[in-house]
Amino acid sequence: MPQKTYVRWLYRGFLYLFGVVVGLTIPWYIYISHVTDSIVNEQWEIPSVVYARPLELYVGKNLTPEALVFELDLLGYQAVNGTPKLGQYQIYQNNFDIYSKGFAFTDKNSPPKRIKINLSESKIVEMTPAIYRLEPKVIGHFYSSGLENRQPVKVNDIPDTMVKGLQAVEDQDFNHHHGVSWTGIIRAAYKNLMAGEIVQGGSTITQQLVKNKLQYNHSSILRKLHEALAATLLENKLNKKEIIEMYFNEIYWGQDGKVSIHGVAEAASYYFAKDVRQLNIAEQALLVGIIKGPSWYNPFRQAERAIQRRNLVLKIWFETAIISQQQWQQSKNQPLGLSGHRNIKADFADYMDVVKSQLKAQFKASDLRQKGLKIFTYLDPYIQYKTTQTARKTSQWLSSDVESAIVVSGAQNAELKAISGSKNERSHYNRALLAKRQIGSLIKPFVYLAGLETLSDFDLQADLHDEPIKLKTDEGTVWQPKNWDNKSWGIIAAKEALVHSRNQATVDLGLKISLKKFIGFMQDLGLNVNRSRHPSLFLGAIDLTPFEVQHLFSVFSSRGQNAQVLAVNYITNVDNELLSHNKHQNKLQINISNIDLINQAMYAITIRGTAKAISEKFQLPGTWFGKTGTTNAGRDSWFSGFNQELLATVWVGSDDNGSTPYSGSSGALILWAHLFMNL
Amino acid sequence: MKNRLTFWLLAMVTVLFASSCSQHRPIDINDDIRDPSEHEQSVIQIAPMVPEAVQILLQEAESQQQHDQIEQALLTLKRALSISPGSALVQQHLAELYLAEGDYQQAFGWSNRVFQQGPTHGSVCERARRTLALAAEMLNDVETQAQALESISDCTLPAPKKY
Repeated sequence: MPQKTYVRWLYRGFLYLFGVVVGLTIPWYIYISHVTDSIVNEQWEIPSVVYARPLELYVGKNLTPEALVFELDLLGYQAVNGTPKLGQYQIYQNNFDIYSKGFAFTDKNSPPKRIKINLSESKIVEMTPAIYRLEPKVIGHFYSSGLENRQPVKVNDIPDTMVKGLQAVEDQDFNHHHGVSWTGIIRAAYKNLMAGEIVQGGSTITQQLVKNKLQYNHSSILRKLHEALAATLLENKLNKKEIIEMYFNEIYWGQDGKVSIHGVAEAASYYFAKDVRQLNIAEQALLVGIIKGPSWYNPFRQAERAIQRRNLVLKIWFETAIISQQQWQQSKNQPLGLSGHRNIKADFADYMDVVKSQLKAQFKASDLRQKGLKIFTYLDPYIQYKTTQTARKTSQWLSSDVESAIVVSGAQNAELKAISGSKNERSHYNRALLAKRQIGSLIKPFVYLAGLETLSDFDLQADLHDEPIKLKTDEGTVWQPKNWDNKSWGIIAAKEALVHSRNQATVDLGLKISLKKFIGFMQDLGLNVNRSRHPSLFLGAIDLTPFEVQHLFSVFSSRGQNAQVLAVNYITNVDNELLSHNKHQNKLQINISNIDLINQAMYAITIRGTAKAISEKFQLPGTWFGKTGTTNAGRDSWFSGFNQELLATVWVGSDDNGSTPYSGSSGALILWAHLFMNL
Repeated sequence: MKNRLTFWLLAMVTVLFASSCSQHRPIDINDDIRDPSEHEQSVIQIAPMVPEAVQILLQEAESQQQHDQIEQALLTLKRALSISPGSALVQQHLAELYLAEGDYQQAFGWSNRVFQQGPTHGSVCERARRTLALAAEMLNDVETQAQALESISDCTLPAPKKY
């Protein structure tokens, strides 16, 4: 072959190769550049967090030692015998010594503090400081479809030992390389060769970040090249501090059921129930250690393995002078110190149903899932726990054939404290919110209140006729209401008729008011009673949920100030700025003295009426008010009752609307009384 | 003719503007509510009982309000109300905060609650009635305004004359 031809072919070959390289490399570069741009510009999807109420501590507060211990354990505090450190508490006799973890409330930052409390007869009698509130328990999240739990933090909020320590363990050349560490790769290759297996990876922190962002399921040479180029480009678009911050917020740290834990803040909260700034050296080392394999080193299930990994990290930290010898010696001998808050089986799902329904009209679902809102509710975890326990014992105290629903709110301010929609923890049907059932005699206090409000010549001393009565309804049928004992007491005072829940006397009063006026009265209370045009409405022939009944009875417990029970107190954005808060909306125009008269009658009901078991059998101390309700053949058993602090409504019945052997006093009242005895 | 019409129109607009300004002058809680109530000469001064913790929170809310941290003050008062839901003193503070911030509906609601269920004599009694009257005025509820103003004197139980 002539030399000229050879050169030509060589030239052509070179051109071809050059074309292939340029043709592939440039689009690849553009693609990877686009990918890194999207990483840089990506907005975190931060799930909104729902909090319980913070426990307020102050002299004079009613608080049992059991309730305080429950709260502290739920918040992940550790009980210790010596002087408590941050996140610990000590009990001696009736004295509590708590080192709180603090919380940035919207109205005021509440820093960590030593709190000393003396309890006597279920009350705080001494305390320093004079007032303090513990951090609120997280009761739920609004997740996006990825079910990722993440709360981003600034790198300045992460302990310095952890930031440096991560680099020492994962990427010693982090501050010197441009995304890919060739010395790191050679070092890893040498160690792997020596060990005969893969003991060390050569990926830099930047490469790991890219890998996490791109979510590769398996590695290949091409993907390694992708990673390397993307890491190099990322280093040109972000500085080292931004990369390390993104890494700490992005990295996968474990699995809580279906929810994956991402980011150091969530990891600190999940494993130690602490703010990331409050982690000690050993805790920091554990978190850095388990990045390598959150499942393999899961400290909850593989404690020994996790300790070994943590101690290896601590050794590296000591060798690289990140910690002193003393810190190393102290930390490596510490137990894992995992928070036990996950062991407390508190059930907040039913409460979350209410939160969701009350937020639905106010916020878009996408904002709730992505914008990291903070939703502060009125839920009281201890009352919720006791309410759930009470519901779970429905079969024990009554029968396995019936279901139950319980709603508890503040008596005077209608703040929803707790709710249980079933006796069965696996039931997803929230009866308290969704099951509309006839309310029976629960309506009677409202009939008598309507009488006081609308009839000029009526008071609770007025005579009513508890006598057989025949009424022709709009449908042309004849309706003959009877009393539960099938007797008629003749002429009796209105108050006695209410105390003893007399049907015929109540219908007598209802007819004086008129059905139309009574419906109007109930509508003014916020009740939709358009469909019911039958006089049996006077005896509670109307379907309401336990939650709706709770709204109604809050009119009595708050002396006419509230007719709407609310779960959400206020909402802030991720930066703690107030977005909305619950406002007082009282449009009721009811004479307080009339409400007081009905409350006196409801007090008598708990002393000598249908709910006298409260004072006689259960002997609950204090003053109680309440009303029982029963529908035909015990299909529904109700009790709604309150004291100065709490109002609770209990429903008991069968899901198929079948008959039960229970009246209001022998069914719902039993659960209600047990709940209050245990609070 | 045209000039005269313009003159009268301008005069009317000026009068309307001036009257509107006088109706919506900013409400100063100290000048309009608290100071006049402090001079109240009733022999019975009912100071609502509240726990020490609530007193601390009320002071905190005052301080936040003075530093123009209105939302924080509001949440602090709500915190106090959660501790003492029936406290007329806390309710009155809330009413005054809302009034100062121009949320007259809320100011009306809370002061009306104190009016109905709060103390019947003394400074808080009078503050509630003054707040209710101003809120009612801003909401054009003349009847409630008149009723609240008339009842201010009921908060004072004068000392018996010395003969």
